[in-house]
Amino acid sequence: MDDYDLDKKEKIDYKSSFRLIYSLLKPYKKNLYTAFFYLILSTGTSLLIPLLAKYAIDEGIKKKNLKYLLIIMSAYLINTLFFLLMNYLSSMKLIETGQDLILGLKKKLYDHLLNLDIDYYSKNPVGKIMARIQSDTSALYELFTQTVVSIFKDILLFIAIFVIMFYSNAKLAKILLPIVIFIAIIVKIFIDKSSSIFVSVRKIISEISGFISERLNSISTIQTFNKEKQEEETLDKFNIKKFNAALRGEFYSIIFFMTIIMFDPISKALIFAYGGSNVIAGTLSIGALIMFILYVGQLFEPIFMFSEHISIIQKSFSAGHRINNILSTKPRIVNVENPVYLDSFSKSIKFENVHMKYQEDTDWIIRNLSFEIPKGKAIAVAGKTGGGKTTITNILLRFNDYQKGNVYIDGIELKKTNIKSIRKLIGLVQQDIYLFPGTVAENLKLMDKNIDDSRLDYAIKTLELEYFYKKHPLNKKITEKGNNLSQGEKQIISLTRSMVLDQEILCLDEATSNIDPYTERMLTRAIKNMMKHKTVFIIAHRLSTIESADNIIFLHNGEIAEEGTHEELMAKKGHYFKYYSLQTGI
Amino acid sequence: MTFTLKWLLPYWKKSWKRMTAIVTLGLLSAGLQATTPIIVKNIVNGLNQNINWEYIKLNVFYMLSLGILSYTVGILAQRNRAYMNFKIEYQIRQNLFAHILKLDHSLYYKHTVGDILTRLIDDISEKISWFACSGVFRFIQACLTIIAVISAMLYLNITLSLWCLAPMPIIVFFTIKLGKKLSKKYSQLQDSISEIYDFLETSFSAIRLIKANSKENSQKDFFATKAQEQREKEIMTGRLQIIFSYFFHYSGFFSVFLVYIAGGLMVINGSIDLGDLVAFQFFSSMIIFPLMDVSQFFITGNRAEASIKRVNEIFLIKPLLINSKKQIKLSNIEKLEFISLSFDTNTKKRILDNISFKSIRGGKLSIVGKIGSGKSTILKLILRLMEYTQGEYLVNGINVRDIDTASLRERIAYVPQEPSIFSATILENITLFSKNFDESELQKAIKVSQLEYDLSRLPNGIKTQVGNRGFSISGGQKQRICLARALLKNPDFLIIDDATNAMDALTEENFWNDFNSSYSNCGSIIVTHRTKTLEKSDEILVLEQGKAIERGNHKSLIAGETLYKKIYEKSRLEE
Repeated sequence: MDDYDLDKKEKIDYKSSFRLIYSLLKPYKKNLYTAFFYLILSTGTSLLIPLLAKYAIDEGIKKKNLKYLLIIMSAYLINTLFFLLMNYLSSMKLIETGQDLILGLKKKLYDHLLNLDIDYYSKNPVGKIMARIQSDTSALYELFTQTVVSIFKDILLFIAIFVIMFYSNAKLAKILLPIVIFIAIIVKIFIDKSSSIFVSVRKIISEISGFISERLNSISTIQTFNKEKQEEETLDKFNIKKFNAALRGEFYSIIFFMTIIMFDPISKALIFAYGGSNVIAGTLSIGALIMFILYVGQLFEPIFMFSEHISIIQKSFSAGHRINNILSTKPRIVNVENPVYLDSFSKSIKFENVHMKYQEDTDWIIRNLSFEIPKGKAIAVAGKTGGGKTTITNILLRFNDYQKGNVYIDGIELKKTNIKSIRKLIGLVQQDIYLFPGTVAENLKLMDKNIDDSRLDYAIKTLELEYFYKKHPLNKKITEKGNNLSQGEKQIISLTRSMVLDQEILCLDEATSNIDPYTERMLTRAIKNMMKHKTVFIIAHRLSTIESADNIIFLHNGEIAEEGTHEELMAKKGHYFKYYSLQTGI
Repeated sequence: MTFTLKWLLPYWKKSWKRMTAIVTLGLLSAGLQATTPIIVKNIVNGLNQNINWEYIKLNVFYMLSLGILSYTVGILAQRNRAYMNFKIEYQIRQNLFAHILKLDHSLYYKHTVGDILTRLIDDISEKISWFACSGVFRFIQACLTIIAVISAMLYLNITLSLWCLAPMPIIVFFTIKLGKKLSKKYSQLQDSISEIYDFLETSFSAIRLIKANSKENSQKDFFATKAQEQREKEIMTGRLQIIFSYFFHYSGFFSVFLVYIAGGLMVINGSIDLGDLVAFQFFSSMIIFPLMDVSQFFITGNRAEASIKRVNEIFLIKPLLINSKKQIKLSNIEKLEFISLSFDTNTKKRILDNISFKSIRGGKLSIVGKIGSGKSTILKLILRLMEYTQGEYLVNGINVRDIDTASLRERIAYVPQEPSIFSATILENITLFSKNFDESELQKAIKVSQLEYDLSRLPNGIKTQVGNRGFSISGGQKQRICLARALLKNPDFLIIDDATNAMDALTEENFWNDFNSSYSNCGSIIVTHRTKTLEKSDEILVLEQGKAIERGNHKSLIAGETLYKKIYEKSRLEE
């Protein structure tokens, strides 16, 4: 809500929106020309229709020439069919091109979003981001199909009629000039006034989407805390905002449109009065005056169409503006120039006096951290929650950068490596488990079609999970983020997934916390199997998983308090011992 | 279509005054639209006779006043229609959201969050809103114009009118046939949009996973396929729309064609005069624009119908909870009791079988068992998030169906397995946006849920903004925020679904100690495997495949050769 209130007066940046839209159109120029060509043909043939009708009456019926009438009417029929065909071709071309454009834009947006920092995602609710991809892009669709091409036709038609009018009577046409200028001023005022409203309508739509998706995900909390009424009221506030903003925008459009229409009788009256006085004075023929008034009617047709386009342009530019906002958001964590691409991991990962905090004005989350993970070994980090354990994985995976000290991977400074290459080497298994709508197999591959099925079998066999996957066959459909699976089952799938994805280094971030001992046993066995094959970095408070690590780091307030193997640390009778005793109740 | 109109009827009735105004204004503006060109034509024709200043002045006045009148009526008519479009959109969304909040969990077996979200946003805003008033009432206005024109035609010449109207049966036939197809295609389109929302929802939530595994490309491919599917469906419906609109837009041309041939023959025969024919041509040109509205009505109507059916599908889902008429309001809960209670899914699969237990306020009941043994289901049944199939559930000795559910939930606090965190401050997450809380109660809840230390380390303390579904805080912190939220209720019973396991052992130990001393009067029913917690329970319920196979306290259960003993010892080993 704050977002909306803060920049209520945010206006469309037309220049960059135009640039965006133009860049989208550019590759499709040829299609647009084709559509325009069809459109001109169809407009041309439609102009022939009244002409043919006139001939049918004057030459056929009046002269009682039946044959001529039939010939003209067949021409009329053919002409109409040709008109319909051209119209169809033009519309279809625009629809297809428009869809291609939108598809391209969606992909571009999605690509861009995937490249943004994790930070962006912690600031924007998922529903809000989704609305931008789906709803903002479809607002542009109307522009491509209905406006881009036909606006040229309208402008052309307007100029043509105006020129004809000027030629037939320059004096009368000059009277219309101020009206044309006046219309231009009104268009400008409308664009200025409505700009911020259309932007805020789009914003509120994404707010609502963000709000609803979050509530739907927490419905049992809302219900058990009897907060249904309150949440209804909160939605009501958003809804009313949307109602007011949308209505205000629409009202502006209506007034704008009706004002333009108003100029039709005004112009006619003006011509009528001025021309009429000329007729009385004898400087103008009555016939010329009548013809001119009829022209005025024709002149206004394209103006009406044009003003409808203006509304569409306004709406789609506001969507373009918001899309631009996203596209201009750049990730902060990017590759350095000429980054080192790491194909494989051969020696070790080394932390050297690393300091890190998320915000300038806070304490260090971790300080002076130094340790080493040799290839093939398992390192565990234990300690109180909030002690900075997850921060280490954030650093390793380059979700966040550290401020002091250094991290080396095979002797190369982490910040100088190619980010993608690092993430191909290091995998992550989180406590929060995300399953996609699709089959178990697709989820194990994380939707990557290039992974061979044999990898699935291999992973399942290595982790000794055959029994589990007999119960949950690979072609089983997962519905709604695995609501048909228990927490433990999801963790097993998530762990198998990391084996399938086959990274050399694996971070297990509290990956085994939320489960019962049966599943935990299955998981612990799987993890132990995994340790035989990989370099593993474990964050856990379950000592059963930590125990078998080659080295254990005990973090306290972001610093290493103790380090060693399980036996060594137990013998020390320090933090770790206290921690461990508490769990087992020794 | 009749279904769609019937469905919208209550919304119109609710604002019947405004709707009457819309119809009246619509008629007025249609009348003005039709008469203005005729009047202007007459004025211009008048120029052929004598012309003087009086004539000019008078007619300039007529022209301008007609213009101003159309301007005013037009603005009023359109604004009111826009008002109703947005109003109905607003009401449908509000009603549907309220309805969803009342539903139990079975909703999510069939519908995903992305799907429901699409229905609440895209279907309502993009597909239903405009049709709900503008589409329908422009159609009514258009129909009246068409009827007026047809009456004039019939008055003029019946035979020629019949020729003019000859294409009608064909139009009606295709309208019905193509309309059905269009409606079907629209619902397929909406379904594919739902799928995209569904995919994006998971994809953006799982962004860390995707990035950490460098799977951006496969996600992009997957998204591209989905978006491509939507493109195909959009083009398909677009094509049908054009063909559909042809039957109306341009049927006028064929009427003119028929009128010219038939009328031409009649003029040649001498049965009518040329003036009649020209008048007919004029009439058929008058119905071109209203015919556009008619075709628009059928196109947007079919589109709206597909969406209304999708929205209605959710409305038709009724909460499964059975409640009697009594609805006793509880002020406190002293005892929760299950007597031979069973629970089946809607596919008749038995999840819980003959479960009995009793829990007294202040007592501690623990539930243990394997994956899928029905532990979470028991907790959900206690909270009435689901409805049991057989047996009895008594609260303070009263059948739960006689008790007001809200009052029951008021006294029980629930901490689900997956913590639900909102994009708001930690404080708002704990209070759930309520402003009426007691500061000392809040401090107590924060202290007991072991959040004090964490809060002191955060940049803005309790006012720290939690990112999207708790991105920036750890799993253990999320769970403890949910615990604090539950404790702030000062409940009679605390229900925890394995939601302390993301905490480390020390934190959990401290939590239970502080809980026992600060909330000594509060009973607890928890699913857990922590041995320490189990040892301190008054009663332990051991579940296997939906059956309570063992019941007792730690001492008595550990004495025999029990499943509990196995679980306990394994847990101990694991820890």
